[in-house]
Amino acid sequence: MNHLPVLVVVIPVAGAFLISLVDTVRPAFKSTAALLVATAHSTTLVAAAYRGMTGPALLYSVGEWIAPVGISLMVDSFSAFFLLLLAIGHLASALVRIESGDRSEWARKSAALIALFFAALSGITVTADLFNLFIFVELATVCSIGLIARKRHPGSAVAGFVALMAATISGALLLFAVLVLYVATGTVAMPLVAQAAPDLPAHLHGMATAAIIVSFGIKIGLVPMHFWQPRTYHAAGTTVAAILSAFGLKIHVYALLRLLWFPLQAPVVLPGVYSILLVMGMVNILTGHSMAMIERNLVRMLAFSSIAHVGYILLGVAAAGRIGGSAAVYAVAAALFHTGMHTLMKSALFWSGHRLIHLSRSSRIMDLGGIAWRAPGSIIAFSLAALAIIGIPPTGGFASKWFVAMAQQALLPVLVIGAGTVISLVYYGRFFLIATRRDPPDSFPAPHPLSLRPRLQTAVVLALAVAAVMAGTRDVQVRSLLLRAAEGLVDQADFVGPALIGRGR
Amino acid sequence: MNTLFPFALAIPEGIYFSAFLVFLFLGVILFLNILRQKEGRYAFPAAVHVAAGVLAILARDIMTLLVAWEVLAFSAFILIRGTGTARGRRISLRYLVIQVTGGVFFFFAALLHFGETGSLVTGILVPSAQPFMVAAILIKTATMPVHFWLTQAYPSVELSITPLLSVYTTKVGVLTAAQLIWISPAGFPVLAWLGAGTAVGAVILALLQHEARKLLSYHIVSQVGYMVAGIGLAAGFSAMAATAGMFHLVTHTLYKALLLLVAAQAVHHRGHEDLTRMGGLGSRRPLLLLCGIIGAAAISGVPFTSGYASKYLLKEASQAQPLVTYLLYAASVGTGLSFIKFTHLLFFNRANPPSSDPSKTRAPSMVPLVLVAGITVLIGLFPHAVPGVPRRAFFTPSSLLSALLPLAASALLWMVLKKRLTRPATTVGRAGTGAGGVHATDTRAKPFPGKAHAPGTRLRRGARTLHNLGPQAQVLLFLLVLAVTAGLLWPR
Repeated sequence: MNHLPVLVVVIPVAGAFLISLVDTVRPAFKSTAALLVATAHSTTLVAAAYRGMTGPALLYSVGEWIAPVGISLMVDSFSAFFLLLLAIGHLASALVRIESGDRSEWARKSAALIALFFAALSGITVTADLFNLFIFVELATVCSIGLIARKRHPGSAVAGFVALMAATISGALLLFAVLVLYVATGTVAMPLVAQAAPDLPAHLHGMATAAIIVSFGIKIGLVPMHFWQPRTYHAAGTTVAAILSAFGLKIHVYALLRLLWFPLQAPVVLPGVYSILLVMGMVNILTGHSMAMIERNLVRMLAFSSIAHVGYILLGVAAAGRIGGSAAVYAVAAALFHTGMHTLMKSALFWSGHRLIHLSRSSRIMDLGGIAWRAPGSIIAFSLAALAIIGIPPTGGFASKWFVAMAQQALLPVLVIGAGTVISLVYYGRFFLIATRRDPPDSFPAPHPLSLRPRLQTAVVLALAVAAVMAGTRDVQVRSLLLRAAEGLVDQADFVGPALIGRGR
Repeated sequence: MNTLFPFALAIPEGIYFSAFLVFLFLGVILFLNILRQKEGRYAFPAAVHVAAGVLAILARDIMTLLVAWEVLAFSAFILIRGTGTARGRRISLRYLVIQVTGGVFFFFAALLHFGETGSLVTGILVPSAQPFMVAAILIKTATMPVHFWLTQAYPSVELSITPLLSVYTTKVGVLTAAQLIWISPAGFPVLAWLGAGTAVGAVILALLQHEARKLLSYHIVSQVGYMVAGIGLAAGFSAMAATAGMFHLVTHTLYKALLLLVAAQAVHHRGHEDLTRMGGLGSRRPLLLLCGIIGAAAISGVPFTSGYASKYLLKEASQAQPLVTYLLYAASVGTGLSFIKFTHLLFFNRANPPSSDPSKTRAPSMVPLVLVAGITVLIGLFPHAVPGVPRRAFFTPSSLLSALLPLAASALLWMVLKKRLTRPATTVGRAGTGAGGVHATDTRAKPFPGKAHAPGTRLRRGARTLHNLGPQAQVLLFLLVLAVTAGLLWPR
């Protein structure tokens, strides 16, 4: 039996304990331990993703207990794509944090928390069991609250509380949906729920779907459930905000898609839900971009940009659900393309922004005037990632927007995408101009004594930004991967088949 | 699976080959001119700008063309940003936003075209994509009323940058239009009307200008209007119009670069841009005078100059559409008048105030001018030598006469209006002189300069306050969304 699906969860959980242990015994080796854990986890993730992409879906029953009783884990090509994103995420966030000079108590805890957070995200991605999914979502929430509240400034506690409140409602709704499905079908195993879904009473199905949409809508920041997000990212700081936005948010998108398509069978049973998502996507794009345009704080600006980009992903998703059939594969692939691109671009933006904010000791955009000349590597990475996220050809961001727009059946979403491009150009362009101004030459505070030249950090953000830019010209390879992943979501023979075999055994 | 960015390139043929040569030639010359000015920080964006311009004319697929558009816009943005002063920042951001808006319209058009045909090879777009493409082109070619980005940005940059900017952006818009656009709503050449109208309107505005590069910028708008008129007539009204428009692109790009180089020399010599306070350069700088005369004659369409040949071709192509022809004649009269004023104020006007010993100019600074002037003269004398120009008798008595008539009208008008046109800027009521003109522009761009709050301030503040919503209100919102979603999904 191949143990990869369970290893992607076990390794980082064990790793988190290891990091805490090392931190107590030999604090100097904490970063090394964190890097070691991240490397091991990423390797496992890539191996699992490789199996999921190339072969049939990988089914794992914990303790050989099969579906109705035991917990199933599953890696198919769709989850494999998100496992790849997590592999990038865990390794990159460990690398970026190595040079961090922060020695406070919470900062020491955060290495373990990040490992646990990635464990929870991997769990969400591999699980094939609704209750197990709920557990992992809650674990991810706990870790993220710890990460958000770790900073010692007054806003953090409030922001942590607001995030906790949002997460609690979200968790309660998810639990509610799981309970409804359990009561109606008598099982929490996704394949079995999926089998029963078409015969569910329509109002129960609708209620569960609504609860799931709102539950994950809170997590991914659907307008008007996004109010907690900018505040939280701002309080969490750029390092954590990148992890939350670029990776945490994407896994919640994964969970939403998986639940809609698989246990709920929404494209067949409840196609109306995709029209709601389409409208929400457009509202997200316009709200996110316009708020980012009037925002005066860099971190909050990037947070609003995340809200907007969830909208692009939703447009692709909604198009897929509304088309149905084999054409849906292309639309899902487009949504996944934008998901992957946004992961690269937004992590590069946040982490390069981290350096700029660190240097000027302020995240207000007006305080960042001329900061570019202090950190040329960071501003280059920031500008490249910004070009991609604005959607300038031939970057990956342009390609992903192009395919999302191609998937649309109406003109209005396409026009919204175009408007988003122009608005995002305004705020990224303005930030670039302010950051590269030359008029106030020596008005910065003295540089922070610690971590003066984070070469590794700069290298990581440059690599992420260049990957985001290059993905556009390598779109054939990227798309064949994405189409394979999208098939995993849309053609569920892959997922259902082995699950039923497991049941019959 | 085809790649989205095939980067299909080919050396173009016919008149496009001439445009390619001009882009390459001016690119090299103006790039070296920038390097010579010891403006090291402009070297990279300028090189990228030239490369993007050349890429645009080599592109054989729509995506590559779009890439060239955007690279042109971003490199120009860096060039316009200049030293990063507050004013440069504002103008450059406005420039970039309007250019990328054009790019977004291009994106819509490409998307619709690809959706219907499944191909991205350069060619006339499908009808549903045409309106978007026209919107993109109108922005890129600075057709009125979206010309303001050009007339704001070009005069505000360093002296050596303006000629480079003038070569590519608008011209790439024209050649894109020539390759992709075929539109005649309800059988009318609307695009040609817009182009010809711009040609006249921009000339009228140019006549009101007193700053050297501002005046020339309005003439770019006007001359590109000629080209747009040519492209607009190509849609079934005249077989030759697109070629004529492209030929005008070739000639105009050369002589406009020449005029801007002349203006740069004069401004450098004098230290300010105000034409009414220049004067007297004719006797001190005979070579500059010669180049200036060649450029002015070419843009006015004096026979045996390059501008004459291309305008003759354009007017012949527009014969089926008398409205366009008349508008182009009117624009010719205005252009002639404006350049009589330009050369008069620059070279022949009595120096005002009399300049003391002018700074010595080194001979190398005149090399680019002489080269470009030489090419302009050669094209004017031998228009057939330009690849892709149709065989026509350019110098028949009737065509010479039709070119001389508007010039005679210009001369006549000049005699009547000379006082009015050459009046110093201060007496016209414009407080600005030299750098002061800059402020005049700004006041016009912002109707209420003294007003502390922009109109959207209250809205912005409201939106920011809203995003500090407390936890209780957020919980209520969550439940509200839940209720609405459940209501929408409830079975009926």
